[in-house]
Amino acid sequence: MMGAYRPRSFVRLARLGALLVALPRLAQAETEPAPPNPPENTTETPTVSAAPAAPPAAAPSAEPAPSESAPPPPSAFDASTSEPAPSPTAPPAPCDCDGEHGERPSSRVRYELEGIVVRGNTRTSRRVVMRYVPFKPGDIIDVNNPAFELLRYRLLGTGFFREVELSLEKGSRRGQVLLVIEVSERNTIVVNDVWMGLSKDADVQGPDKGQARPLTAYAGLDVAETNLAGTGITLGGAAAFAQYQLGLRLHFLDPAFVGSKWMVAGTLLYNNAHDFFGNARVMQAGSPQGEGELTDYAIVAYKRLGGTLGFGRDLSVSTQVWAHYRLEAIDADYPKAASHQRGFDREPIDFNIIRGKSWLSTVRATLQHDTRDQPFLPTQGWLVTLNGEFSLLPSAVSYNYQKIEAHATHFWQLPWHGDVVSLDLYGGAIAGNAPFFEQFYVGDLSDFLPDRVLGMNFDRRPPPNFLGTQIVEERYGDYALKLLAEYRLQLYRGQRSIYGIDAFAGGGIYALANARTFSDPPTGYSGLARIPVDLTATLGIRADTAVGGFTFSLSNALGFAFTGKGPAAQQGSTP
Amino acid sequence: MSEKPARRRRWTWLPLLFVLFVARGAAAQAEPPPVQRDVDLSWDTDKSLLYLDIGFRDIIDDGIRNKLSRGLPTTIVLTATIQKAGSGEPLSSTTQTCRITWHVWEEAYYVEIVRPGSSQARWTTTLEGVLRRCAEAHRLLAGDATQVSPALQLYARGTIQINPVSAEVLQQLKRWVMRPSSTGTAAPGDALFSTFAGLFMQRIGDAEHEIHFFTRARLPTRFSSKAEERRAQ
Repeated sequence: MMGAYRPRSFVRLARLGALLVALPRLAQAETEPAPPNPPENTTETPTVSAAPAAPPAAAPSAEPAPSESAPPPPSAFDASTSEPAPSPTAPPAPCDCDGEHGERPSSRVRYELEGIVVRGNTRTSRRVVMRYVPFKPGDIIDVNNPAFELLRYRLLGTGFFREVELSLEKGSRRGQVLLVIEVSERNTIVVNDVWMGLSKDADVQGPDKGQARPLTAYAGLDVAETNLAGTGITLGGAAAFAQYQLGLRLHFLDPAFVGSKWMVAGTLLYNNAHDFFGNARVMQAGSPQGEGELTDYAIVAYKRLGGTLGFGRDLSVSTQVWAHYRLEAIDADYPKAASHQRGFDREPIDFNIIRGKSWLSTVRATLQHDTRDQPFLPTQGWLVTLNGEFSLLPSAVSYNYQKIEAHATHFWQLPWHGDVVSLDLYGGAIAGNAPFFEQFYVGDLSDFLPDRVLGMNFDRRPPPNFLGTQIVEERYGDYALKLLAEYRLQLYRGQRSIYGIDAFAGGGIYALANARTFSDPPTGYSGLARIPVDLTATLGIRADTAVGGFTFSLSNALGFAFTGKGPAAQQGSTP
Repeated sequence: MSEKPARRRRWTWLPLLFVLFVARGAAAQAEPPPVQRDVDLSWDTDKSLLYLDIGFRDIIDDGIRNKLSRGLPTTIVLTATIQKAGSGEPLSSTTQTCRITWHVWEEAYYVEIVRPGSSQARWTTTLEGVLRRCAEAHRLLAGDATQVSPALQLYARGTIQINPVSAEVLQQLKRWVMRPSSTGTAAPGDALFSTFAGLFMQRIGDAEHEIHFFTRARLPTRFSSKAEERRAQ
C-alpha cells in the first residue's frame, strides 16, 4: 500500500491534487451549462443549492493512510459523503472565536446573475470586454464553473489588459449577484515585424557605371495598434525601404464585425519598386542601363496601388476560413526589348507583367487548420494552410490566372531533452498569366536568399545550385514544391521576458518550374540536371520573447558564399 | 594572406557570442531560487508515521487576501517531498489542497481541504479561519517507516501555489490562444501573435502565484499519538 505512496514527481502530484478539487466540474461545465437552480425563496433561502456535494477526491499523492493514523473520519459534512446534504436554510450559527461555523454540506455555490459590471476600462469599450463574457443577466452561475477562469485568461489573451480580476458582488435581491470585471489596460501599440538585411549586386543606379556598390541595405518595420480607440480593432502600418524601392502597407482587422462572429480584414498597399530579370548576358533596347550592351540583368520598374477586403470566421477552435477580394492598379515599365541567355540559347525575356497601366482583380479563399501547442516554438501539432486565388471578371482585368497553394507542417517532440523535429511540405501551382509578383519566387524557397518583403524583391542573386541543375535558370515559376526537415534543440525555457531559446538546423529540397521547363528545357542540361531542384539548409537560433519571436539565421549570410551559375555563365561565352 | 582568415574567425564567433549573451541574460532572469522555510517534521512513534507542520501565512499578501473575498474560488496547494539529508532523491511526498469560496450572501468562507487520506469542507466567517486552515498545515501525513527510516536526518522541498492552472484548463487555454476566436490580436505566424501568445501562456505558468521552498536538514522530533489521545481524554 505504502509503496504507491512513493512519488515520482511531486509537481505532477500537486497538479493532480488541485485538479481533483477544481475539475470535477470542468467536464460538466464545458459540456452543459449549470442547471438552473434559482433560489426558491429569494428573501429567505440562501442561494447555496441542495445539489449533492461533488466529492473532492482524496489527495492522489497518497494511498489511504493506515486507518489508525488517518485524520478524523468523514463527518456528515465530508464531501465524500454521497448522501444529498440538506441545503442550508438559515444564516450561520453563532461562531466560535475564529468564526468557525463547522461543516456545511455543499460545495456548489450558485447565484442568479443580475448584471455584469466592467471597471477600469478607460479606453476599451465595454462592448469589447463583453464579447468574451459567456454569461448574461438572468443566468444561474456556478462559482466553480471553469468558464470564469477561462474568461479571465481570455481577456488577458486579447493583449488589451495588463491585469484582469473577476469578482462577485451582492445584487439588489438576495441570491442575485453582479459579476464585476476589473481590468487594467496596457499599451497596445506593438511592433509586429522588423526586417533588416543586405542585398548583393542590387545597386541599379550606381554613381557611375561599373562603380555600383556590391552591397546595399534594406530595412522595414511593421507596427500595429491592436485596440484602436478601445474598439478592439487592429490598425497597423508597415514600411520597407531599399535602394530606390519603397513599400507601404496599411492593414486593419475587426475581430467582431458589427458584433457578429465574422471577422473583417483589409489592406491598403503601395509599392514603388523594381525587380531584376535575365539569367546571364542580358541585352536590352530602350533602357538606361545601356543600349545593346551586355549587362547582368534587365530591370522592371513598377508601381502597385490597391488593397484587399476580406471576411473570415472560425469554423472551430483550430480551423479558420477567410475570403478576400483584391483590386490593384499596376503601372510597369521595362526595356522595349530584352534578351538573355537561357542555357546556351539567347531568348527574349518574359517580364510577366503588362507594360503601362493594368488591373489586377482576384478573389482568394484561405482555410487554415492549426493544432500547434505554441505559435513560435511549437512542440507538437499541425499547421495546414490551403489557399486558392482566382481572377475575378477576367474579361475586365488584365491578368487572368488561378493559383493554388498548400502548406503543411507537423511537429513532433522527441523523448529526450524536449527537442523537436518538424517536417514542412509546401506546394503550389499557377495557371494563366499571373504577374511576376504573384508567381513563386526562388528566394521564398531557398533559405540562402532573402525572402520578399511587402511583395518587393531586394536581391537579384540566383540560387546556389548545389546540384548543378537548371534551377539556376528559374527565378520566377508557376510550379513550386519544397520539403524541409528541421531539428530544434532546446537551449532555454523561462517565464519572464525570454520564454524560450532554441537552436535549429534544417535541410531540404525544393523545385521551381514553369511550363517551358519541361516542354522546352534550356540547352546545356541533360539527364537529372533538367529537373529544376536545389538543396536548401538553415541554421540558427529562435528566441521567443516578451517583445516577439526572433529568428537569427546564418543561412542568409552563407548565401553570399554560394552563387549558382548556368552553363553559359560558367563558360563565359555565347555559342 | 593573414588578415582574411583572422577576420573569418572573428565572424564565426559572433553567433556564439550572441548565444552566450542571450543565455546570460536569460539565466539572470530565471525563476527565483527556493527560499528556506521552517518546517517541523515529527515521527509518531506509535504508528510509525511521519508528519509535517508548516505555516506560510506570509505569502498570503494583500492581493491574495482580497482575492479570497471576491466570491470566486481560490485554491491554495502545498506540495512537499521528504528527502534524506545530503541527497536529492525524494523518499516520500505529501500535498494539501485548500479551496476557498467566499459566499457573497452568507458572508462566509466555504473551505474545502484535501489531505492524504481525508477531505473536509467547512464554513468560516473570518479570514483568520481561512488562514489557519489553508495557510498552515498541521500534522500533514508525509510518509511512513517503510519509506523513510526514522533514524535519518531529513529535509523537505516543496511548492506553494495559489490558483494552480490545471493541465486541462491550460490545454484549453493554449488551444484558444493558438486560435483566439474573435480577438484582434494577430494571426498565428506573426511576430505579434507570438508576442501575445508567449506573454500569455508563458506568464500563466503553473499557477497565479508560486513559491518554492526547502528546509534545513534535521532529525525529526518524536511524539506518541496514544499519549496525546490519553491526555485529550
